[in-house]
Amino acid sequence: MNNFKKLQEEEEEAYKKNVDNLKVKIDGNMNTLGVFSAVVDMYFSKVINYVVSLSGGTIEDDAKDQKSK
Amino acid sequence: MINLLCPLLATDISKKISDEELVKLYLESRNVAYFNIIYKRYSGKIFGKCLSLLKSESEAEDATQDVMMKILMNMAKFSGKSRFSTWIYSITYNYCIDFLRRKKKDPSVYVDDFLENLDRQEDVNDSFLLEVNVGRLKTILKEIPSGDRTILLMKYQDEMSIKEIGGILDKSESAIKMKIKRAKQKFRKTYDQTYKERL
Repeated sequence: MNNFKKLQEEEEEAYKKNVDNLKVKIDGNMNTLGVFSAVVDMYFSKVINYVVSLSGGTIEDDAKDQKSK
Repeated sequence: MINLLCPLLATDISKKISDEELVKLYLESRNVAYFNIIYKRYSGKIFGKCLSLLKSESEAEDATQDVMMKILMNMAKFSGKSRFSTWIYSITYNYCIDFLRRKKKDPSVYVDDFLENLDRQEDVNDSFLLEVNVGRLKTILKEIPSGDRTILLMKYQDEMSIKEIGGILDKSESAIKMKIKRAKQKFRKTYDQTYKERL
């Protein structure tokens, strides 16, 4: 192993604590992202349907209901 | 079920899975446990590089956090043409170089012909750099300009090819060879000034 690699290993060991603390922040970011994408998943289609109905279009589910009647 | 495997993933199995397999598994399942293994493997190395280039612990922490989030968000873009480590390091180097450019902290990052006068000097042997004692290596790397430090870390620490370095820095292979030559000369000169004067 060359000394550049040894230096890398020494630094990894020396700053282990910084990196572990960072993981907590990154987990927080990941949770926020997860919540945001869940909200988008839940409500995005409803928002699109709302925009479609506002512009005078027919929402697919409504159209099916009307056909069955 | 996958969540039950997390403790296992964190121990024995994680050591046997290659980076590329981990990326594939993460993209298929979106299970955070796979990303955690990648984090464990690379966060220390990324932090070390950021610290070495930015010279500030708090900036290196912010940079590592941003780089890890970039990796997470762009994992699907990893094509597998290069090693995963090369891909990760290219994101890290690009982030730090952009950061330094924005701060204009170190002109050597963006002034290519800064060391023109060094060209006339003798080529420095690789073995000299590879055999320098770790403590001295750390000191000299801190002393030399960021541009030189970056290229030396890419070549000798990350073992990137000239082509890979050229791809990251957006330079031709001949330009990269010249930059490496200059960085080695700068390293040697700084080493001589720092240690030979003490004798």
